[in-house]
Amino acid sequence: MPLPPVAEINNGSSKRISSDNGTTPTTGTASMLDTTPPLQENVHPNHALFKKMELLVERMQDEKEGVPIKNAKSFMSKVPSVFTGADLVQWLMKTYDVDESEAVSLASLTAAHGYFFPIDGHNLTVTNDGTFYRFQTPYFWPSNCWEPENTDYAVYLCKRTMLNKTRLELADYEAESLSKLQKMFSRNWEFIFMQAEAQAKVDRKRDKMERKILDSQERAFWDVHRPMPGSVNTTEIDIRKSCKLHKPLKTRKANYNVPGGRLSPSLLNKKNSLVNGQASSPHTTTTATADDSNNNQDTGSGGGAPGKKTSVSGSPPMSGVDLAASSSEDLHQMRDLLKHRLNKSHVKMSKVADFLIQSCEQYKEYDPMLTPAEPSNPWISEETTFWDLEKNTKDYSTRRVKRWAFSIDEVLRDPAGKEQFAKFLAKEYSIENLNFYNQVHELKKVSEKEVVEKVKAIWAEFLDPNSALSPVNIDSKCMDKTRKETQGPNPGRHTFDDARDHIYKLMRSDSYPRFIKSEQYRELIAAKRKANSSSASTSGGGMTGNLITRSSKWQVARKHMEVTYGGKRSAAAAASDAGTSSRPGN
Amino acid sequence: MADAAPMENHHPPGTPIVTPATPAGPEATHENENNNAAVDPENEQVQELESELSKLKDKLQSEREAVCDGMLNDTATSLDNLTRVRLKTRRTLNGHAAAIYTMCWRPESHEMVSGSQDGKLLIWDTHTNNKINIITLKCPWVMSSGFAPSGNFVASGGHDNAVSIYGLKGEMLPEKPIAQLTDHNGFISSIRYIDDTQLLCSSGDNSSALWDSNCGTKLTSYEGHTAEVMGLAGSSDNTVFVSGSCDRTAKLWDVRDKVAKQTFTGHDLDINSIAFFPSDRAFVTGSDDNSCKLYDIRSDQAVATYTQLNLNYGIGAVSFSKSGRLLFVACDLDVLIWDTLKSLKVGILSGHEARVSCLGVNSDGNAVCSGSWDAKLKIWN
Repeated sequence: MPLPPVAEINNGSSKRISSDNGTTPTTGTASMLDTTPPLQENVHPNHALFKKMELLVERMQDEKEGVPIKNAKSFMSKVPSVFTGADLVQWLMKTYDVDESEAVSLASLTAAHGYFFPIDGHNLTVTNDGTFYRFQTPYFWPSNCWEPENTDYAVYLCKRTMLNKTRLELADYEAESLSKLQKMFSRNWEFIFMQAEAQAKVDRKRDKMERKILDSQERAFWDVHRPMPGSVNTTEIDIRKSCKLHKPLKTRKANYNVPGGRLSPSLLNKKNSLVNGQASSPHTTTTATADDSNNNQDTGSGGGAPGKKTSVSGSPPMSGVDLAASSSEDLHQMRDLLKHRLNKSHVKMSKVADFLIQSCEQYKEYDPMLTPAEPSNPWISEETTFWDLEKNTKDYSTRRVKRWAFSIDEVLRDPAGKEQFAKFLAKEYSIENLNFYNQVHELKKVSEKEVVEKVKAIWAEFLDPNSALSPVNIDSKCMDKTRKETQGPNPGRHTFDDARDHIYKLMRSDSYPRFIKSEQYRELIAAKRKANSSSASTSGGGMTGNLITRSSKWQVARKHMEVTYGGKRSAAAAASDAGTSSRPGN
Repeated sequence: MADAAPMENHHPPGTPIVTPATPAGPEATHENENNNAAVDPENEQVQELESELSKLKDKLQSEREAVCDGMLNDTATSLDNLTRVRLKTRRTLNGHAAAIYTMCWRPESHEMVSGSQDGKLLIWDTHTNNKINIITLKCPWVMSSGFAPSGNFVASGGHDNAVSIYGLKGEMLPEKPIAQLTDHNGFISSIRYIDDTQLLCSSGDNSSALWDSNCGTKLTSYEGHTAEVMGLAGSSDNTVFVSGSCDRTAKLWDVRDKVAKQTFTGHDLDINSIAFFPSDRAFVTGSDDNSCKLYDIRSDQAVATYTQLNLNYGIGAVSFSKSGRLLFVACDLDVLIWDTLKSLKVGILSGHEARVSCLGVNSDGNAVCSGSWDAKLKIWN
């Protein structure tokens, strides 16, 4: 599949920028239609977040309105281009009207992603004091989709050891990483050494101040991508989105102070297998293993090449429908679909709203998050009575019986309901409908090998016009179609779907309403009500006003409720804060 | 600012470093390549179709607008406000050693399976906190899991592009998968069992599929999305399902047809997660654009939007309470509880120390479970 041309991508990106101001934009014109705007590739999964942070950082850097930046003097040397933590926090508090803790936390989060950093140390957090911080150069911003490899890190660490400055000495974890890298790249170490030397040479020629700044920025970059053990790794990517990063292509290669730019081509081309990464700390292992999965194409160990190969072949997204590339066949199909949809009527939203409201209200009683579960919520009372009762088809509550009146689906879903319904149908001599329905249901569950046999069995029992044992009544058109399928070459699970739908509708419109109005059902409800003791207490507050019915039969249940409501409050009955809920009477 | 000047040699973000060979794309010209004489009528036909299509789309759009006589929360203003919903952590399930990416309740039960980056699937009895089974996966990059209704099987899938099925009972020991369904070209983002032998899965190769897990055959392949499908949800009778994708649309499918019945747009960024409303006529999607939308199937558009600004991670998971009145949404380190009808926040579940990556309410609605990158699962009610 071709990549969309560059122009489209830029359009995509500008749309993105304008809409990422922390507010949900109103739907753009493109999203209202079926076409979706062209998807942007080569975009970091966190790009929306980065855009927000970058806006913030740009404001901070504003010459007039931003954080005051100065060249500080300390001991014998000047410290170029820094700002203090206190200044930053104050600026945040003033500009965004937040309190100190929120400002510190916001600043620390932004620092953790590498947008600014303390000039000393490797800990990317901000404190509200005189510590100096410096801004990171936009080149190193995370939104540029950096994925520096271990070779780059090796060159960097190696270079550091060549510069004879005490303050550029490696920290312990860095020294550890370096030795691990030396083992890993022992065969290519000369290349790495050469690169490091070249970089160090260039470095020494630089102006002192400039060098200070560059060094610190480079160090901060590595603090983000190879974090100090114990700090948060912000480059951890949700694996669900990680393949996007690799969708198009190569990762970016750093243009570290080396004139002419890049690392040697031989290193570039080698996708070194980074199995076992580097430091043992969990944070760096995640980065390393993320690299691992991404780079591990050819080694093919473990569960086959995860992700990388396939994400590239998993076609780059095409913009919606309007493609010059789609064939006329696709367009025909699209047109038919749209026509079909236009033919279906759209329901008014207010009606939809009514339906949703009604549905919520109806089930409110059965929602344990809104109404305390009866007899008790197993996790709160530590009793499993609730589940035992559910399985019970002999003894059940009014609540449960009431539910069967909502719709035929509720009856069919509850084994107790099904039992009662079956009894009723048996009296009416129409039980074969329910049996047929059940059998078709079973058909969906059997394994592929048994399907044909089952189809024939169902046909024989319910549908064969000559010899069905308990024939069900379906119209002739349906019968013909079903017969053709049953006797054809490929009887499958869906053979009886039409017939089943027919029977289902029949039951729903005919047998079911009569069941609900029947003596049998009314008796069931009455029986349960009578069995319940009379004093019903309302749960306090404006929550539900639901009856907590207790039955003299249910000594066990009552005891549990005392435990639940007498002792702890059910968390869901939050409305009883005022303590107005009456205790279950003793 | 005294930022380094020499580091200018970079490409502006967003442009591919390697540009395609022919910007117009080989396929566009493919039809025209072969026979110049045949070009014109073919092109014309395509153009005609395209103009017809855009007319139809406009018509569809105006129909949608015509029925849009107010959002859900407008109609629901007459309802009483819910009082604040306070749920407590009843269980914390410890056992994983790394970020948890997926969890799935067994239907009609309090058993649950969870999968994490440590390469293990754990099967829990959430009431007693016991681990019923521990399964070591071949590929630790697990992203999705499913639990068969009978409790006999669990399935998992991830970056290995395959759905692995493990048997839990009888002679089947969960050491090796009893089956692997390997026909996908992209990661497996979501799995749902229809019944013991059939399951639906969605994949990063832009498609979803219905599999017979006994025979290991793919029964249907549902194509139509133009980017990775990140989640799917089935209706309670399993006749239809909806899928949400990185192409920012959700599609409704009849299980029997490989072509989508309806497409729902409105999100600005990837849709990560999707869940059906309990009475099946609507579904909710959670997206990277920090909002969830409730789409109604019959009016073909969004009837409500639930936005939570200032999230770092977008919305990773959504789940309804039993009645549908409450919507649980995973937002960064917390789970927010929304009143679905009135579009108001009514609660928050805090306690995780890292991002909440998966959520689920069990069948009887008694509990909601949240799994997080802090390697813990919590049961709340």
